[in-house]
Amino acid sequence: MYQLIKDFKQGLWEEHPLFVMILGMCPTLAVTNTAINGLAMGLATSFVLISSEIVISLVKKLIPNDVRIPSFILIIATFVTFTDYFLKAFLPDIAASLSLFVPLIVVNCLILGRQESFASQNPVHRSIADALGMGIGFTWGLVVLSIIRELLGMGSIFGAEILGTGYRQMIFMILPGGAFITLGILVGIINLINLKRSGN
Amino acid sequence: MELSQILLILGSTVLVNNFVLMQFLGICPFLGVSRQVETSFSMGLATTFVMTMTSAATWLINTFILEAFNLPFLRYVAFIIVIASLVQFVEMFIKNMSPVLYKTLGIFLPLITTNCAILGMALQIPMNEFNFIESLIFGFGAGVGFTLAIVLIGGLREQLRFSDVPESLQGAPITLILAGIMAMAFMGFSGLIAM
Amino acid sequence: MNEKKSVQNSGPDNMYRLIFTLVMIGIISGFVLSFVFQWTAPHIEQHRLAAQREAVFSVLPGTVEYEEEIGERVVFFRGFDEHDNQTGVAVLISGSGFQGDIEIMVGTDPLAEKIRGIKILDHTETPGLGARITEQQFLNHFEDMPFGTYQLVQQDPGEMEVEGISGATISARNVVQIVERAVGKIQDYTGGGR
Repeated sequence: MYQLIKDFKQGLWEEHPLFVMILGMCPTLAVTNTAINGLAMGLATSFVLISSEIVISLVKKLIPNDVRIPSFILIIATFVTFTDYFLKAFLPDIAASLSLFVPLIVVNCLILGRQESFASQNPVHRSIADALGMGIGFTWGLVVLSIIRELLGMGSIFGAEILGTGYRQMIFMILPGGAFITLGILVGIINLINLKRSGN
Repeated sequence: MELSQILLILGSTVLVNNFVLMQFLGICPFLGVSRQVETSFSMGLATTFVMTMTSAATWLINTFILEAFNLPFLRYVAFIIVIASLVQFVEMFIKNMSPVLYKTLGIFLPLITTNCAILGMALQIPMNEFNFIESLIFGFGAGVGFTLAIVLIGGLREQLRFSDVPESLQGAPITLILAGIMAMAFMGFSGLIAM
Repeated sequence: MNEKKSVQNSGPDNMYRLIFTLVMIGIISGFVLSFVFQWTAPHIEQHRLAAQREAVFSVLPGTVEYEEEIGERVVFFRGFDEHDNQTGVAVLISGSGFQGDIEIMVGTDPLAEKIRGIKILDHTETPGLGARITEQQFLNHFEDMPFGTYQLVQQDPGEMEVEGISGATISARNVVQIVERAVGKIQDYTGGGR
């Protein structure tokens, strides 16, 4: 039980997929212009991560070592296609705003990385704990980033006006440049906190 | 196929809709292997090569298999298999044909499978309804755009060695901030070409 | 490292096992996905039709019923009101925007040679900038616009002029171009007066 909690907690801060491991950058930068998109992307990625970690840790003994990576990618691609069609059918608005970035979950290095370094070596229950932790970690990272960008860029959070109509929107924040710089500064801040902590 | 059409697709993929700086595709290698201009260039070269081949292969598969038999739901699975096997094939080919080239590009090839710029490019081909030649140019242009971005950031990072970057910003954070400034500069190309 | 070695040492037997594994995964995945496709396809189609229907009603006010006709790369809609009088002809057309395609429904009155209204169905423009082409304030400029070519101006639009959006000049210009093309399609379709 202690082991499970440890596996779960890893992804939340210590080995945070975005801020510490710098994985899965493409969707992180591309869809975080509004908080709702960031949250949706986080949840979609978490779903794919959890389901593929479960399947892969179950079938890992059946897969020869040499075709490990292509097999993992195939399994991930299957779940991603499922997610894509599911979103299009039941949440069309979200599917439209995430557009190209749902299929790109296939090549999100976070997902393949966790299969390779965790699910293919550990039993199912530990893989679930790991996937949950990493998924929640990834999601909170996306949400924080997108809240900052949406607030400064459009003066709202989750579409609700916060800063009033008089606020001069920093359009820069929702453009590509703003995405890179906000993420750079956030990673810097997390590094600083970790440096301070380990220094003491 | 007119020359102007070719230039239009090239210009828009290399500059206006640059895959890395405008569409956020291929960020992992962009951050990971851009410490020096030389390695950046090799990575760019390998990616351009695979991208051009992928654009041709995915166009053929999409047109003659997926669309002909109405199997759109297999698109992601099919494309990723194509990319993975192409990378494997290219690796074997280069290894046999040119050991020198293999030495330069070899270590980057496995990384290319998970470069989302390639799958992203492949998925945009059916979306844009390109024909075969247009797809090839699109793939090539996307690769050139990727090379341009990664070589530019490589040059900037080489200069960074001489500057005093705060400890917490070293590595990924400062690269991201640099990329942000470059993305702003690339915004200047927007409107240059309306596809 | 040891992974590389085993590839080189593998005989044909091992090779078959590798291919077998991948083919098996491929078959299972294709099987699962075809079920997913069959399950979700009607829902996706339904959303598309609902959005299309709503767009026809909004660009041809007063329409209660319409007929659809597929043209070359566009779809035409003839709208009718409750007394079966024609309310106008709409066309669903797409063209390139700043980042991706913009899909627009353009409603016209071909007899009066005027645009009745337009609606953006799909686009991938930047939120807060290009995406402002979906704002009613911009779309309203096209209402009652005579057929022809239009100029994009910064402010105080006169006849045949559309007020642009600051920060989204390109997207706005693309919309104007697509609308011009739509008008041309409608004129061809209706043969100039039907």
